[in-house]
Amino acid sequence: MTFLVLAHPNDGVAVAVAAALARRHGPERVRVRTPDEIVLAPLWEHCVSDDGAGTRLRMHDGGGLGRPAVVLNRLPFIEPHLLHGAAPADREYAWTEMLALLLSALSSLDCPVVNRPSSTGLAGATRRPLSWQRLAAQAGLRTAGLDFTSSIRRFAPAPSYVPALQMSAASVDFERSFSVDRFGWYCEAAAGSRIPVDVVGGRGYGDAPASVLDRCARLAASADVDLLRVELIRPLATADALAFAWADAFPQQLIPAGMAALVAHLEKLAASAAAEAAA
Amino acid sequence: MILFAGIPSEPPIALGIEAAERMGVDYAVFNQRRSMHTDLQLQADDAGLRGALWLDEKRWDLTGFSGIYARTIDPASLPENRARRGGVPNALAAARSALINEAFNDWLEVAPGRVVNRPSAMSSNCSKPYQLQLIREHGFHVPPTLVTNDPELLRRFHARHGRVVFKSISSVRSIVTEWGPHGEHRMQAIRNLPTQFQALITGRDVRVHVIGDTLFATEIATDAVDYRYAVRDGLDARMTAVELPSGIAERCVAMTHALGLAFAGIDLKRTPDDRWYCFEVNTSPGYSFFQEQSGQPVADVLVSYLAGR
Repeated sequence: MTFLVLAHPNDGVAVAVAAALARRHGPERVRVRTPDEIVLAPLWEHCVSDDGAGTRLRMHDGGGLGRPAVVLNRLPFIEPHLLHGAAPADREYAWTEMLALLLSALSSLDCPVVNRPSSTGLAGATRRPLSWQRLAAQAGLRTAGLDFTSSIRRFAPAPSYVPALQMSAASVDFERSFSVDRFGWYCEAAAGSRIPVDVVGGRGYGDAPASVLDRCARLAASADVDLLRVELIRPLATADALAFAWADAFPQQLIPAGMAALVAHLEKLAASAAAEAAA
Repeated sequence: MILFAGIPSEPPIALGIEAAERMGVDYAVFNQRRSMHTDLQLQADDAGLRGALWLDEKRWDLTGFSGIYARTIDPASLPENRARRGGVPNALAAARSALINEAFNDWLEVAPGRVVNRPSAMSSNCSKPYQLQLIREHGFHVPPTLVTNDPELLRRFHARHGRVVFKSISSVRSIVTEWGPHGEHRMQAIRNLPTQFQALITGRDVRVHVIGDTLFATEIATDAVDYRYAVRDGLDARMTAVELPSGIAERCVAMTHALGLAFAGIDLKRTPDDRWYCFEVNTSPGYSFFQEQSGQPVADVLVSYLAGR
């Protein structure tokens, strides 16, 4: 087995990459492991000592993680229902413990991992809006304006701004609440839809000028991820210039060129690992 | 001007506020329990990054703080946001409180000036074995650690190391406890969830607080396995200020900086054969416990650091 794909069964990107790799290299060289198999493995052995760290699993089918040449890590989270066997009072604790174990275990893999886990995200670092925006600006990208307000009545965002994705999972009847006041993130309104750029292995792919693609690649490098979806907009006020709006180290979909690049990148990493092993 | 954020009566923040008053350092307090009386506005555009915080109707320019000491807690755990006396919490207030907290943490990531600590840097101890992998790279010994759900592997680990403790894998606080000769059913319980075991390292506990480039080391003399709970177990824990060997002190400061932290609480143990083990780097150290016992002026140095002195 050369390619190990860690992913939820309904992860379209992972399924497509695994299928492409299997077509090109044979199904025996590609293995997909799901969070269910990993979390519920009958044997977990994760060791850390002065000599290093290592992980061994035996899953219900008797197999383990093997010794892959490269790993596509698409495990951004685990569903709490996987730990439904725990007593209700212990479920949250069990879930937190399992996430902590997965972070350490994925970090102990001694082969290239795309994306490497981070303490802020199992499938690569997750960042907050202002952090992405600052990194994007440092990478040379123009950035779309972004506001947070705890009350639009008192501190209204600029007139050309529209509500942005709210980061909170807090449950609230916003329709009813908004008749009272509104709070949250607002961003510059865009002309047309968002323009996706996929960065894979240090190169940007998408419908944007080469200079912008290079800056997106720089952004991925500074975020320390191999795979990054960057979303650009054309702000209404300056519709001719592309501006950074958002980035995601765990994209739900890739453009065709990004998908092909991801497959090629994994193949390249595997070939390098094989050459290193042969040497 | 410095900003304290969190619950002002919580000892580490309370000691900081007390130090700021004593030292004549101007400060403001963002009390999370008064979220309903707090407003926050952040703006990021071509003109740069700006922010303002309204605390009980008084406006504070967020870029005007030389330093921020944040020990914010999950807003969901605030009494104001929890159901009480059979009532239901105000969902709108809870959501607003959560969003203000998230946006404030976002600001902490990019704020100019000194921030103790930036949230992303604090995340390394969300997994203790993950953090051990980072600690190892800084030249400290780390305790042999096994996370397993297999009783046979645990038996072998126990046999190899003689004495073994267990504790949480995550940052959820747990009491470090020695794994004793329990019944088989206890051994079988680990099948339900992988559990973290470590070889018990004997020696003297040393807690190190690093603030910027300043370091305080406190030695804890106790027979307790987990000195934090010595009194509960009817044991003594005496704390005294000590000097670290220069190589160890330098490693502590370098590791703190490498983890992106301005303030860290490092748990060390010096073995009888003079080996230095590091167990954990606390990224939001509850230093008050140590300051009160050892008399070391941690809060004063923290306030000086935040004030840019």
